[in-house]
Amino acid sequence: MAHDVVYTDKVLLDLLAQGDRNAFTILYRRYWMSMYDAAWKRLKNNQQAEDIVQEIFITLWTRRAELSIEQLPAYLHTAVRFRVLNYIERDLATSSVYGPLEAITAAEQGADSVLLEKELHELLAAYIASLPEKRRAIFILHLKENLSTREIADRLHISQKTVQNQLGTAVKGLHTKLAPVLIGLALLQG
Amino acid sequence: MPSPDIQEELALLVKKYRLGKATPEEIAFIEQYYAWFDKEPSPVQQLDEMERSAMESRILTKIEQEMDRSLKPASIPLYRRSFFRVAAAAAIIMIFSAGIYLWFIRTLPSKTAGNKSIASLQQDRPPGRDGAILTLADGSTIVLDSIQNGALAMQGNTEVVKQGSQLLYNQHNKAGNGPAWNTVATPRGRQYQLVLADGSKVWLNAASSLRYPTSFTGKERRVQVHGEAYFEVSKITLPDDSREKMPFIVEVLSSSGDHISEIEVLGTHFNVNAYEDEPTVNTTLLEGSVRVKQESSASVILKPGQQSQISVSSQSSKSHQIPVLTVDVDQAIAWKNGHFEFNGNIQGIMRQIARWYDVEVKYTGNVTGKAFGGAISRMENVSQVLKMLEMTGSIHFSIDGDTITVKP
Repeated sequence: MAHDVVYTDKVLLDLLAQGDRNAFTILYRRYWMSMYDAAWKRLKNNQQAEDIVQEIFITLWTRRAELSIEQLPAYLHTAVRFRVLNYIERDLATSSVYGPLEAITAAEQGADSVLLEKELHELLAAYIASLPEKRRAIFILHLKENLSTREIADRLHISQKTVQNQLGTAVKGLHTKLAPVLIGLALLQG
Repeated sequence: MPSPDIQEELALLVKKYRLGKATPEEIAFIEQYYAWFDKEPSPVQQLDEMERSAMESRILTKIEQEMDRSLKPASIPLYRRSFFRVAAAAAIIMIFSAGIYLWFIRTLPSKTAGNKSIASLQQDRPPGRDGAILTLADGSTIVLDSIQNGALAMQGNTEVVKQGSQLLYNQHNKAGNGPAWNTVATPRGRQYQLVLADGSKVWLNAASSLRYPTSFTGKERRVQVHGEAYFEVSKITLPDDSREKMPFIVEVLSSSGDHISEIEVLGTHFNVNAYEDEPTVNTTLLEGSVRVKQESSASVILKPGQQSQISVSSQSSKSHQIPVLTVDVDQAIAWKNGHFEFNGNIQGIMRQIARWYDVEVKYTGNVTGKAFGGAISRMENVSQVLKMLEMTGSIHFSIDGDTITVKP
């Protein structure tokens, strides 16, 4: 039926490689907002989100001749992710970025219905799975059986100090609300 | 405040991730952690069209400043950079010799070309955007450009909701008191979309209006239109159990309220162009079937791809059959898809430009009788549209405030 005069990303990237600023502007208009959104959702900071959008598009322009991009949205969003993570690594991110991690490691601070969300459970599972083996074992004993650091130390034949260090001060004990996930995890671990 | 060790832990993990030293489990966690935030609300989506567009321009300006500051890149071979221009120019020259300056380019207007050839377009006009004025049954008005998304009003048992650049009518129950009439009107430089209570969609072009009931209860659905609108009418049956279709009737009115024509459909896609300053009222059918009536004249039934042209001024047409032509429907609804598709004399083209960019048009010298063609996005500034037309070499423009002067 109707055909749109819409330039595909590929056409625009070809034109961009030749230095066409109109193509650049169209691409910017097409993607700036979703990029800004993605950055803002993590950093909750207008200036940082704006800076990230600017940096990425300036890079896109300066490296236009050498870049070979198959999927522009994926490329741009990966670029946003790396810059957001860079803010986290450099400790420049606002505290809200730690929210989910706090929620999963310190349930007493937010042991409400939010904790029951499927995504949070999955995130917790991914977090625990990412821990080194020894620490993971300590975590599971602590969370699943709500053992004290003393009891865990006895069980694993390590010092209580080590257990405390491994758990980190943030983890004071997760509530039984998380039991289903933890049991699931324990089953996965065999 | 997050505890410091959480910050440290995450920073450390991110560093490993960046350096490519993270385990697959750690990578999975980082990516899942990042994806977690996707569902959070976004502030830009909450902005209205005007604020968003201001922000878009502001960030773009900063980027462009940075681009200009960076060194000019190594020059690109001329044949590559200007391929499209050369092709377009060659096409123009060929057609030129045929006596009609008609060409189609589906490529970007080259900025370098524009800068060289046009000295008089330092001023510019941004394109039109989404916006309209809603008049409720009690006569109160709401400016839809800047108002927040959400429920705006109850009209009888129908809720009026703004969602993005659309106005939706949600009818809550079928029974109820008689319908209230609402009007959505766009000024020049604005367009808008509606979903009526029966699910029919209407796109309103600039300088247009639609008057419609907020619910459809009788034997027929009747709306009134000025200017230009594209309809996607949904098929619905009468509220009784007869299972008969409820016809949808568009009354085309002149600005003085005179009845010009009536379009009757059951469920179909069509465009009505009934601007006062256009020579004819054109109804173009894309899908389905419509019956076009004119007072004291025989009605015609259009097939997809056909356009009826009712002459408003000419008295003689009354006794005649309504003329029907086969046309390029894409051209008729180009506006709705966000672009211009020109194919005709310069006055007709300039009328479209005037309505969308909200400008006055003046002519100096003789430019009549020249035909132009071309397609370009309606989201470009007016200078880009004019530059495209100037590429023929047979017409030129200057912009002074809100006036565009056309010269040979």
